[in-house]
Amino acid sequence: MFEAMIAGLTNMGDPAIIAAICLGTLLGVVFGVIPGLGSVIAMTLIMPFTFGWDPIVAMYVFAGIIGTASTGGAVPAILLNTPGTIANVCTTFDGFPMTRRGEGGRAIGLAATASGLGTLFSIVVLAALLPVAKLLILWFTPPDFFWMVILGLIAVTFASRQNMIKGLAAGGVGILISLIGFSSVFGVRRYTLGSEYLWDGIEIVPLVIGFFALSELMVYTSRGGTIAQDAKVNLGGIKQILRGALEVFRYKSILLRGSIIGTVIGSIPGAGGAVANFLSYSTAKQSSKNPELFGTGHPAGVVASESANDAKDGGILLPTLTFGIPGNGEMVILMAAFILHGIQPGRDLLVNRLDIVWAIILGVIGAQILTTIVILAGGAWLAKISLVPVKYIAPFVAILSLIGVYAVRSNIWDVLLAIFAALVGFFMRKAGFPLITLIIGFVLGHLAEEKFTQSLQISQGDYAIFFTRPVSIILLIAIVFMLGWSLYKSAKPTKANLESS
Amino acid sequence: MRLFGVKNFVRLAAVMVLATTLSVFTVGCSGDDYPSSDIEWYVGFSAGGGFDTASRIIAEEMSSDLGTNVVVRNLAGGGGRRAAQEIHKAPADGYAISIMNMPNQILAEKIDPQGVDFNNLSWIGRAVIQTYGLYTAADSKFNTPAEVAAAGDDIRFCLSGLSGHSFLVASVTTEVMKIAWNPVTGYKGAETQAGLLRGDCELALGPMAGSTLSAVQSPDFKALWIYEDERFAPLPDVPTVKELGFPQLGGGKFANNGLVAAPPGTPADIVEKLSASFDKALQNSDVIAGINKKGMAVSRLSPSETSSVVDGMSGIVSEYLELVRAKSQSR
Repeated sequence: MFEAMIAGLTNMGDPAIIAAICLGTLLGVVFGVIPGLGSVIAMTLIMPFTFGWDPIVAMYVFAGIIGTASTGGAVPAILLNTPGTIANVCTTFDGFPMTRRGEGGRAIGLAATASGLGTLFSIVVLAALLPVAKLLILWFTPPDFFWMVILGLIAVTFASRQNMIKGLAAGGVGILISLIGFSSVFGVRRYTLGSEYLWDGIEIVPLVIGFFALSELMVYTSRGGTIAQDAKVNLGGIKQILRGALEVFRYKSILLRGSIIGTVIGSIPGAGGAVANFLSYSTAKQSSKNPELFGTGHPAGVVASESANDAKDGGILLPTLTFGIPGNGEMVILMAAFILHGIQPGRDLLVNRLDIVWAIILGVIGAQILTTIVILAGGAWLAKISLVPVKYIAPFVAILSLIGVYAVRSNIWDVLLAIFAALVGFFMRKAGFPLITLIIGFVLGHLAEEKFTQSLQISQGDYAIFFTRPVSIILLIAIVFMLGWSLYKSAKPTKANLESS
Repeated sequence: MRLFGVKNFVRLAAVMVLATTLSVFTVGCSGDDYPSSDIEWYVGFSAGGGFDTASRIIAEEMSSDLGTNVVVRNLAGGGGRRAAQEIHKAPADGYAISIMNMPNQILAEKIDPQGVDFNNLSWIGRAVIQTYGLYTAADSKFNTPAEVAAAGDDIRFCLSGLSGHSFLVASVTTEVMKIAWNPVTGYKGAETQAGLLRGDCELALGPMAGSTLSAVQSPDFKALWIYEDERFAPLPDVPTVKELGFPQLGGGKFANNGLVAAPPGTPADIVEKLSASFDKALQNSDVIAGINKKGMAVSRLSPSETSSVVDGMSGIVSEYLELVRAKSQSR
């Protein structure tokens, strides 16, 4: 454990590692600053190009992106009233009013420092929990694991904040897609239509690049113009930025509470940075002596929002590294990167590849420190990227995406799959189907099948194995509670419905 | 509501087509005179694995020796079958060679034929070998085949699947040792060891190399036997199947082999050149150290010896194929 940490710290002096962190930070900040692109697209784009790299170096790049995108996303939220990522929405509530008052720099200072400290808090928590995580793996038998996968699928579906039926449908399609290919469990090929290409199932890299990156580009291209609409950058001076950076410490309790909320919410699959962002902001407002100041350009609002959305990083890495259950799009791409580099999450990672775990932890920390400095120094300049017309950004990203897809396996079918996924993703977005649910269904579907089969093989066909272990029962109760709560919420008449009736 | 701007959409589509074309033409070319251009070394697995790393190390050394680039190309798919199919149909000009995981790929071909005749390939030599062994949790009550056989029908093996190498070895072992058993599938790498510790299964099989060897050498696990005639140096206290009275399971016939082949009908002089360069690379101390670092051992064989090994493996797989099929279908 400590040897791996010390080795990781020593490696951080390696020029290749420094370059990887810088690259990850650059990508994370730039894609975070450009509203709508975010970390998922940054990770999808760079992933194929890391093929053949030392996995450690590649993980520093991914960690750099994970740790920085939502920090970068605070910049347009504050300066342009356009959140860079969905997890920066609450930052606009007080950040942009501060900009209109000519205090944009102060808000940037607050956001960058709160983000940095929030991330550091959650990563320290993650590192502290790693020894326990190894024990957790031994507690979780296949039936427990099966229920946890089901819980993750349901949580992601309900957290999609869109039509639940559409979420369930997308998740179901994702599960069905995951069944395509050769099943080593049963030793048979399924739904391959005699195609050699489908032998190993649908490849995750072209699928996520098509779904996330290319379909997003199609949406922007269809809209035209610039990504951030109608905005003028109003920053103030460097003194304001430094003032904001130091002012964070006036809001210690909000900072700590936001960091805790971010870490805990982040560890729940499907919840992610956006939920943490809203929860932290609303809690800060409710517990404030001056709640009326929130939404008018109150620095505490920026601290609450940014500390939580970045603190989700440590939390969300825990189920991904420990069980291979990705809680959001970023983690799906990280899982795809693991597959690409022959890394197996779970016990293998925590026992044999602690160097990878520490690369991710140290990468997030290093990138976050770097980002905080970059944002403090050049936030206003970065925000102007959002004003570049889409017609210049889209072709560049599309070419990069497709060359990247081809580079992984030198297979033209992968490129065609990415384009097909882009078209499907585009129309799914238009129709209001959540893409993330489909992808998580795709990733977890295979796992659910495997754990279900393993359970029955262990019990020699006795289904009671799913209902007799304490961990399984706790997870089942959680599933029933989540389903019940969701049904209650959907059945309960809303204020709007009552008024219309 | 306008769905999207047609003009912009068409532009993006055009860019995608251009990018697709560019992406294809940015990779690969072939030469005319041997060895005047790059030689492609197919690896049927993703980058980063044992065979991939070994291939890259050997290919680099061969590049220096042959004076041309030996380029590793990952053709992952079907557990190595995509690369096997590619090498089988590649021109017999010496510009394509491939490493194969044996006898795994022979078994896969016999179970689900795809037209690849391994006996017909032009074999270059053997790169690596991994000794197979059976292991369990340290606190397991099992120590000998007799104890395992006496346990009744509750013995569960943690295996990767119902068609792989470990399933073949488990099927044959239990048949020969008269052990009643059940497979529990979907276990790879350290997950297998977690399965043993949790009690998902009682026994596991695997190559005694890399992380599996480290686990077996740790206090948490113990190896019960290895599938060899001679004791395995890293596990000197572990008996061989021959010592335990089952010589038919020994002789290294269940070891994981990394064998390298050229397409069928490759001219003898080209095979000879490739084989000489390959063999020279395997004697390089840096190559040996690099392969050992990945938990594998270099084990050189001439083309004719390699061909004999393949013939032997095909024979064993054919002999037990019906047993494997029957066991697989009964689950």
